[in-house]
Amino acid sequence: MHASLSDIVADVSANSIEAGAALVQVFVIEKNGLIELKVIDNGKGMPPEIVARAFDPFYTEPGKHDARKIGMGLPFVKQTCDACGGTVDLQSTPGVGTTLVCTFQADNIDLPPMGDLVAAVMSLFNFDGDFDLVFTHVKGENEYSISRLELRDAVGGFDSVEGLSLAKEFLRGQEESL
Amino acid sequence: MAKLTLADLRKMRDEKQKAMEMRDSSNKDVQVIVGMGTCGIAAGAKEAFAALVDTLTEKGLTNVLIRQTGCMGLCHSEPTVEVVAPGMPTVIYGHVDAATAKEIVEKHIVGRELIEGKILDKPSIDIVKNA
Repeated sequence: MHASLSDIVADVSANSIEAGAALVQVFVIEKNGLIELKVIDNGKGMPPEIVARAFDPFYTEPGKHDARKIGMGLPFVKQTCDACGGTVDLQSTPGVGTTLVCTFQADNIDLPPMGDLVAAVMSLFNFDGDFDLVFTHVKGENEYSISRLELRDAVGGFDSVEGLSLAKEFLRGQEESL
Repeated sequence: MAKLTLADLRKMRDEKQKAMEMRDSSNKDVQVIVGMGTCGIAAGAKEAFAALVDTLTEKGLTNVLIRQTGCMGLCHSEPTVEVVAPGMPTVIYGHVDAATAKEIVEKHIVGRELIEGKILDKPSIDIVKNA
């Protein structure tokens, strides 16, 4: 089980990037006593037989890892949802994309802390490639949204110390404004 | 912390002389690669990644590229960090927490010495090359 919700955000959003998505939309919505995590991508998608086994920890998508037979990402998500009165829904269509929606009861005693969301988003933005990832964080009535490509253009790149440092400062400011 | 706009960021980038080097990756001769698979994330790779960025920023090191990779098959020793630096063997450090990440920057990248007891793997190709 992941130690924080931000670890879950980093993990499941990375799946979308690895699925070759040109656009990944990540929403963290904290409202009305619920925390909703939604990841929508236009990656390669999965056929029904793989979706059916996606939450099985002793299964991983063929070809994803050489000689490895486990896949813990989505099972960790389900474990957390089950532990704290949440729900998880995975919809996918080959060639179209995948949508994962999880909800967590915000006041459940077993809910992991949010953790360092800024570091999670920074690590996602740091992936190689020209994909866009739009991260939106809603907290009550406040929210912000940031596009990876727009931020990359502003800071000059995410693989340099300078770019990551500026991105971190920007994201911290956005988080603190919520 | 003040809320910044993208325009603020562009201005800050332009004002920093060091930041001018960022578009030219030819001066980046050190690579730091963080394992960010499910196993790495579960073990604290996100914190190691953030600590690396913070320490590199503190030291003002502009010659380092930070990259990430998925599971390297070393789940037992996550978080893992690979360091590729000229004139030094390529090394994978294991169990890298924030303190070790700081040590990697200070000792390996700045001090150019390997960190005893933290090395998980040293690819044989380096041993062969250096033999």
